[in-house]
Amino acid sequence: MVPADFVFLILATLIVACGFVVVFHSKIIYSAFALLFSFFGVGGIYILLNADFLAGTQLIVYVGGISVLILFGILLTKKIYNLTTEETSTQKIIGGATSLAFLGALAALIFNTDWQIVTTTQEFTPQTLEIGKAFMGNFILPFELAAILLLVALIGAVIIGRDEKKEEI
Amino acid sequence: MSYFGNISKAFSTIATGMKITFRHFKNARKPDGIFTTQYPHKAVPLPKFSRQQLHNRIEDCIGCMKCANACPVSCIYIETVKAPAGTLSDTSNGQKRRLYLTRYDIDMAKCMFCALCTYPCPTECITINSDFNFIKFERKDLLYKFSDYSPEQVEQIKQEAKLREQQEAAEKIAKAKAAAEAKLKAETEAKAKAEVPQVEAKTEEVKAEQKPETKE
Amino acid sequence: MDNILVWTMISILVMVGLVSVVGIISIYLERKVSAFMQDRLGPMEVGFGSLANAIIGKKTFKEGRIGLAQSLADGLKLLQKEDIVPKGADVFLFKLAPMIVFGGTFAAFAALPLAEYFVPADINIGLFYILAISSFGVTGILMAGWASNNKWGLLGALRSTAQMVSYEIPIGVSLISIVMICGTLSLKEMVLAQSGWFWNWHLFGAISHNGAIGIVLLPVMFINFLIYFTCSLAETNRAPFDIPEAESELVAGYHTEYTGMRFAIFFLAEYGAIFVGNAIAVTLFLGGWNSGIPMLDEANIPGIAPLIFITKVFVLIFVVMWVRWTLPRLRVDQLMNLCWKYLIPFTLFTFFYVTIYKVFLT
Repeated sequence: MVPADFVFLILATLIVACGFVVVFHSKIIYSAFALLFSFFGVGGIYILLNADFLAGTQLIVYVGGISVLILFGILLTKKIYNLTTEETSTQKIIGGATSLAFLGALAALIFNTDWQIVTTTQEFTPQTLEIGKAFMGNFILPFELAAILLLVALIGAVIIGRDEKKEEI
Repeated sequence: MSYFGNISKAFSTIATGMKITFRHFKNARKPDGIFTTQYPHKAVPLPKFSRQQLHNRIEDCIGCMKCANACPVSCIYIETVKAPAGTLSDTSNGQKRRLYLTRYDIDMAKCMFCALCTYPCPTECITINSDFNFIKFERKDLLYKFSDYSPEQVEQIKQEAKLREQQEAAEKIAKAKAAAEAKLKAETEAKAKAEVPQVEAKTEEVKAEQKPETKE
Repeated sequence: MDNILVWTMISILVMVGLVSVVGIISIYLERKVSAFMQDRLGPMEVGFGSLANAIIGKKTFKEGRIGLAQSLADGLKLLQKEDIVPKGADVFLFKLAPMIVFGGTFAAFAALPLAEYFVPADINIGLFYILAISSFGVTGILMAGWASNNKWGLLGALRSTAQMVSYEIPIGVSLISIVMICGTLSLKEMVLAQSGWFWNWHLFGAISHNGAIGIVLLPVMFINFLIYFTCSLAETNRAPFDIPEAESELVAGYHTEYTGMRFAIFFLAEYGAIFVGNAIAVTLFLGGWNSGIPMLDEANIPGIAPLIFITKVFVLIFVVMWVRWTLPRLRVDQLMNLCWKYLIPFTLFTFFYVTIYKVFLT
């Protein structure tokens, strides 16, 4: 086993274990923190795949942004962190059957796909340059559209969150 | 205030504040730049007559109890034993000392630093000085013992005093007896006179010890 | 190649020591600076000699008179203290939080370029990596505040996170200007671009990249540096942005319930974060390990490059302390005012200016 495999196993275990905690833990705050570590593990997988910029983005957006947003939502909601989610399941048969079918489909997909294992011998190359060129070259339109979308969202948030008393006067 | 006026005001006020703190930082090397006194190494002198700690020059103390009586909180404990004349030296201002000071304790935990005890002292042996540093780790250590006799010596002094007392009592009884006999003789000799008065041979109780008013 | 490997190993070891040493030195410095600014003396009694005497129980060594070993002694004291976990606390998260906070700071140390061969992890996206990994510490702070089951702790954690997240925007935009000029995210290459005379530093524009015309960036770079410095104060919860730890209202913020070694770890992480923030400022604006005089750099004195770097960082840390002991704490609304109405417009302006410079003047 090469060291990379070993690291992959550790990261995969982290992601899957944290995923289980997210789904099954009775305290919602634990679920949120576990989600965070799951994101972190995904970032590690990106690094393992030589995608350094993507890993950094994963950390900034998911760990530093979305997880914190979720945590904020939980912490600012009144009394939500003392809440324990309901553990009794009502529709065991249908739910179980659906999940099993989904698992089977996924497994079939995984085993039937012809995975092309690429072994790179070349040195690690930085990707920021290519990503930048792609953004400013072929993908300029989606990039600009995303920028406009974000700007609209930002302005919308400001307008919604604004104090409305001034308009009445 | 305008937007840019705000910014320039922010910069100028921050600059003013930081100039002041930097001046203090720079002056810290000068001797008068710092107001801290490194206390155990250096201390600010107290006022000349500040009242801090009681002290008793035991070789001058005559055990007159005046200080103990003056004390508002009764923090002075004195025990004396009568001494035979001539055994103790005189005080520095020429007074006679007639008592062994078997106990002279001052409880500084109780003391309220009024210094009222120092005024009535006839020999000026109890004084209050400016030594404020009497930190102790246990409260019982605040009971200052000034008597220069060890417990064994105190025991011995008490024994001797008792013996002397008994001796004196015996002597007195003997004396009284002799006097009574002499009186009897004289009376028998002068029978012609009036009735014989009854002689009481009772001996007087001698107070050997002067107990302090307060007990611990 | 072997040479580089050896240097890398040494630099990893140096970094491990550096985090704790930086913490200890900064705490001592903070106490001394604050004392001098308030006309006090600060720690004076515990020198290395006195500490050694206290440990061996004999008066063998000469006692110190300026308290150099004070923070070391404090660390020893904190090590011996009882490890208290509050009754209502969430034990698992309570114990995990300091590790995450410290881990985030320590991971950021790995990418700092102390010297040309003194970069423990010479990552291609070093700047991006440091910004990303320090956002990991935010979650540790939230975790600490929540797990201690203390309202001050939770309030402090919420304030701290809100502040850190919102001040990441001006930081990011102000750093992008430098990235645009350098055309790289690697911290090492950014420093290499600033070698030579001190006017090659990015604080004075982009002279090393484009010659004399780079001077037109001078005012913009000054603004960028000021904005970055202000935001790094807010990122590390330092005064005047210390509302998350506001002693007079929140006891100590998110680490209110922590004692002993766990508290010490929070403290070390805080000073480590200050070091990292100012190290980025030094790397990007003040020439990193370059002394600013080419003759000194070419003399190749061993060990001088990291020394220059650390000296520069500590000069900035001194300014951080100077600001802390001068300015009063901001209110929350003032904090947000400053960020959204002043810092972000100015960073956007500088960003625009640098873009125009980059497109039309080079």
